[in-house]
Amino acid sequence: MLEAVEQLPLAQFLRRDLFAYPIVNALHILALAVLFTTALLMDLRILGLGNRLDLKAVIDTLRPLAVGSFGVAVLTGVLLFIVQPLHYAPNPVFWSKIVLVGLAFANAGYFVLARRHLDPGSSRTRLSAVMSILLWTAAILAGRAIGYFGSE
Amino acid sequence: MSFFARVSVLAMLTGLPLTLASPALAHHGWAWTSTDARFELSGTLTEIYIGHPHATVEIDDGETIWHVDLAPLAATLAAGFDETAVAIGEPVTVIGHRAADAGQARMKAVRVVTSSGTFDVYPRRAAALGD
Repeated sequence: MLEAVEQLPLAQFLRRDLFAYPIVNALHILALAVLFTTALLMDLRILGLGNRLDLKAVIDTLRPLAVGSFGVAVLTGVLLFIVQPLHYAPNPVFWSKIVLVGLAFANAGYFVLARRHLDPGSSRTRLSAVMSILLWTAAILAGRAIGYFGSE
Repeated sequence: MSFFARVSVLAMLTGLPLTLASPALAHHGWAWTSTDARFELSGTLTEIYIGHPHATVEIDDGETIWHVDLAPLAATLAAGFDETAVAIGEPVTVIGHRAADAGQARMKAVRVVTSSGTFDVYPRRAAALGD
């Protein structure tokens, strides 16, 4: 399965083209920057920072940016992965990062679906905002660590 | 604390030790190598990877299969080293620095020598070898 992924024409192109990989790599970082910043600003607003800004306006403005940048981050992340799938798959640090992203995404999904922003005074909503900041930070730290630790 | 929050905290607390438990396998940079000591390895090529984020070869010295990191793709190609420089099964010598953890058969090469030539994938470090 991973061997087949490795042989995809797109994977071979990304592996060997001088510019495609660095560009995808940079786009991944750019997407993380937008995602982390927008999530952080929404979380901080829930926790009380910038209370003179209307909560609904903040969420309505930032949420589409967060969702869109998450999509770009996943797409570029998949592209980076298929360059050396057999190299990353056995790496425990890679899997820590994936689990952390999954948890951060689940936390965000709960927040959106349960419409928690309508109830910023609730302790569950505030806990969710704190978890969001911690999980996205941990996911980024783990992601950066992939290149330095645990590689075969 | 909710179940979800507990799982999340657990994941963060396990992620960090997992990371710290495996620094000896690091490959970015030179911090994981003994840069003050020259290391030379000769054997037969068992694997070659020319691609992003950096090129690698594997070399069988008769006892162990060594994992050898080369330079990033652009620098490796600029040195003239690719799959045409050496074939699987052919003899190859690499010079550079081995992992600081001597229990590991891993090193980072600055120079690769094959029957088709000498390739300085890290030219400044290769010049500093004084060979």
